[in-house]
Amino acid sequence: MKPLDNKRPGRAVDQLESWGRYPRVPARLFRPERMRDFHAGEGPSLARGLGRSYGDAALLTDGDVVLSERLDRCLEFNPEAGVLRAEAGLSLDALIRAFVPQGWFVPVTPGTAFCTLGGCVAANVHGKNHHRDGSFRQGVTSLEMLSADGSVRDLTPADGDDFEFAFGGMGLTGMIREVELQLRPITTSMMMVKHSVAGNLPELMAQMDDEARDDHYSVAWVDLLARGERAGRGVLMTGHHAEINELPMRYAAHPETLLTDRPGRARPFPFEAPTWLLSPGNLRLFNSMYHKWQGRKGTFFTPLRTFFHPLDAIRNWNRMYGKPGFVQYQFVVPFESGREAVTEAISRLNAAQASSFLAVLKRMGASDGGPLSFPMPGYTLALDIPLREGVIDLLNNLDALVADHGGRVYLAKDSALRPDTFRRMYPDWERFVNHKRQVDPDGRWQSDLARRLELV
Amino acid sequence: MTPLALETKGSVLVVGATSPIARAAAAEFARQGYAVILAARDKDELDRIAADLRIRSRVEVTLLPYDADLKGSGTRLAEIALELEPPLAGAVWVVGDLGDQERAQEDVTHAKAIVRRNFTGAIDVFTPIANAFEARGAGFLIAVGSVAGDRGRAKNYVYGAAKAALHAFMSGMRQRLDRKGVRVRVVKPGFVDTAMTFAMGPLPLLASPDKVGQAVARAATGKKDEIYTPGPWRWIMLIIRHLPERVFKKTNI
Ligand SMILES: Cc1cc2nc3c(=O)[nH]c(=O)nc-3n(C[C@H](O)[C@H](O)[C@H](O)COP(=O)(O)OP(=O)(O)OC[C@H]3O[C@@H](n4cnc5c(N)ncnc54)[C@H](O)[C@@H]3O)c2cc1C
Ligand SMILES: NC(=O)c1ccc[n+]([C@@H]2O[C@H](COP(=O)([O-])OP(=O)(O)OC[C@H]3O[C@@H](n4cnc5c(N)ncnc54)[C@H](OP(=O)(O)O)[C@@H]3O)[C@@H](O)[C@H]2O)c1
Repeated sequence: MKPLDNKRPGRAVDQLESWGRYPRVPARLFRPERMRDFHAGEGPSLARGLGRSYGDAALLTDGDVVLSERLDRCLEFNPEAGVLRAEAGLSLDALIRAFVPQGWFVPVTPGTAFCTLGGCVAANVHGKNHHRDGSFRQGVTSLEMLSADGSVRDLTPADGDDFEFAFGGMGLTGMIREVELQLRPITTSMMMVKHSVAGNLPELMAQMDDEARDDHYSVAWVDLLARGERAGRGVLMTGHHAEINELPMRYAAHPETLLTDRPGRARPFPFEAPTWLLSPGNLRLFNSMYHKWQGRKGTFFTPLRTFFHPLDAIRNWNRMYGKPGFVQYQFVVPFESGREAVTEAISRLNAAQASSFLAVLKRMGASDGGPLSFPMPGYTLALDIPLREGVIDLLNNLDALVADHGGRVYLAKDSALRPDTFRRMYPDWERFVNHKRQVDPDGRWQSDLARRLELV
Repeated sequence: MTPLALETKGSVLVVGATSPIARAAAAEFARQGYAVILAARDKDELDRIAADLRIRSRVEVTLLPYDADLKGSGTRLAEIALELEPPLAGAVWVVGDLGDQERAQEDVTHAKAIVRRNFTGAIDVFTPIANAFEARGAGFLIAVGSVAGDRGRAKNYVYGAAKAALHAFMSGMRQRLDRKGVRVRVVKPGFVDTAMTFAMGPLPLLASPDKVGQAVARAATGKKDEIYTPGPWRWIMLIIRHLPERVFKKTNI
């Protein structure tokens, strides 16, 4: 590896990894403290946020990986309209801390708050409200991007592809420096939540499809380990931001606490777990208990952190999967053949004994953003699979099933997809590649994901 | 909440405000209800940091240019800061430059620049402010030094010498002004997770700039005159300071 020059202090690392801890690759890391220094290195380069993508989207073997995390300043805020302009390294965690007490929440949030605005744009993330509000794209009114030629451009929807392709662009169209976001007004920091139990998959899906049960946010937890009649049993969790008048008297009695943010203290996962911890027996036990416990809750109030980011309470929970790491597999399939595809995928996972206790099913709404943006109308299933022999083959087998049903997998979580299957899943891929050639003719921005999918 | 409380708290001048340590210190002062005056060279960064403070801490922020390498810049900065409203309650020196030790061994102008950016610049800024605080019988002066100033090391002794001089300057002012109601503090960080240390890879006892910045701001009201941060550095430096020179010169510490 080239020695690092003194002026741009970088760090050579042997094993850069993202949230799934697979794969791990050597790279040079840069962490600029000033916006002026947020730019490409000498060779192939990639912007990286907090590394909460699971696979190789934020990795670049032997390349220059530029961290945005120190560029996290709020630049403009209009307290009447709730429009915030901030640097791309601002985390949702910091945003929520600063703005919930002022009565504003993010328009869309993924299941963790430890991700950056830049990462949320690049992956065009979705939340529990996707069926109603769409992806992160919907809240963004403007972006400032650094192009491969070094120019800085302010982009709005009027700029067409230059703007849109950044959403789901996975850092390949340029470095996002600033993001302007329309925040969501809230009157309390509590959520009104309803849990309803479903005994099997058809029942669960019927509940999800039932408009009378629907709410602003909706997601279902599925027990993938239950067999026979109970296969695919789960708990549908719906909710909305509680209005003041919905809250029980004991909250309303202390109006100054209505908008408090209670991030809590994240506890570290104490050790890199041995692989037997997540044996099928243990998982089945856990799932059974979880199903009973969550199902019993009925209707209740909970702080928004607990509703949106329950896993953030344990730092490094990814160490739970032990040294080999894990993959998170998430796909979406159109409604028409959704039930069939989801049922088949679950049965293939079960046959392969790919145990998982974090499985989430949800309805998605309309697509937006660029050609590589993941969300589209249909059912999406997401689950963790501990890494071991045969898992990549299993994923490729599932990829084929998903593509056959006209669906796709989420690139921000992927580490196994092959280029031919990828092209079936993202039929507009060629538009993306052409655009990239135009804005980045020398192939400045790269990632291991882009190399694997032959986008560069 | 009395609106008057804000006014009576006054403002704090943070010199070297574009450092991530300074940014955290300024946020902590803002949280305590001070207005802040930020000074450094880099205008674009100052603007970004000021905007962030205004939005997140909802505090009054004033920006002033300061360049230790320009004659008269420090004196002018102090004069303006003393005239601003709300009145100056304290000043913090965070300016620093590790420089390039090897270059400093060849090039005396570079060595002197390191001394200016770590030490003599502070004389220009602090002298008029110290006198004003003395006359008023109140105020605080805080300097960010370094454990590197506790003992000269081959690796960075020009920087270390400048920090040692800064420590001694502050200690002298403390003896002079403490009895007049002016608090004089020195914060000596160990390794801080900044650009200075990023390239060195994982380091022991590495502190986040947020933690160090908070320690800096808390020094204003705390009882300690000299603060090591993180704490264990006090004991590490106690040992290093007491190694006999004939032993120390043979080590590579
Ligand atoms: C517990 C957990 C739950 C999650 N839940 C969801 C969910 O519900 N919905 C969902 O959509 N996702 C979810 N994710 C995935 C996560 O939200 C995305 O991967 C997101 O992109 C992570 O942001 P990051 O800042 O960590 O980006 P990184 O992981 O660091 O980077 C992700 C991609 O963004 C690019 N990028 C980052 N910053 C910039 C920039 N400034 N300019 C250009 N490109 C950039 C990178 O190059 C990379 O391609 C979850 C992840 C975790 C760990
Ligand atoms: N990082 C560490 O590990 C560590 C350890 C111990 C002590 N410290 C001390 O902590 C302080 C901050 O360090 P840091 O790591 O945060 O460094 P930094 O980011 O480089 O900050 C240095 C500050 O000094 C200012 N500065 C430098 N030269 C200047 C000049 N000629 N005129 C005016 N201002 C100048 C810079 O502002 P502009 O560039 O905008 O002018 C910046 O605000 C320094 O005193 C350092 O010695 C750091």
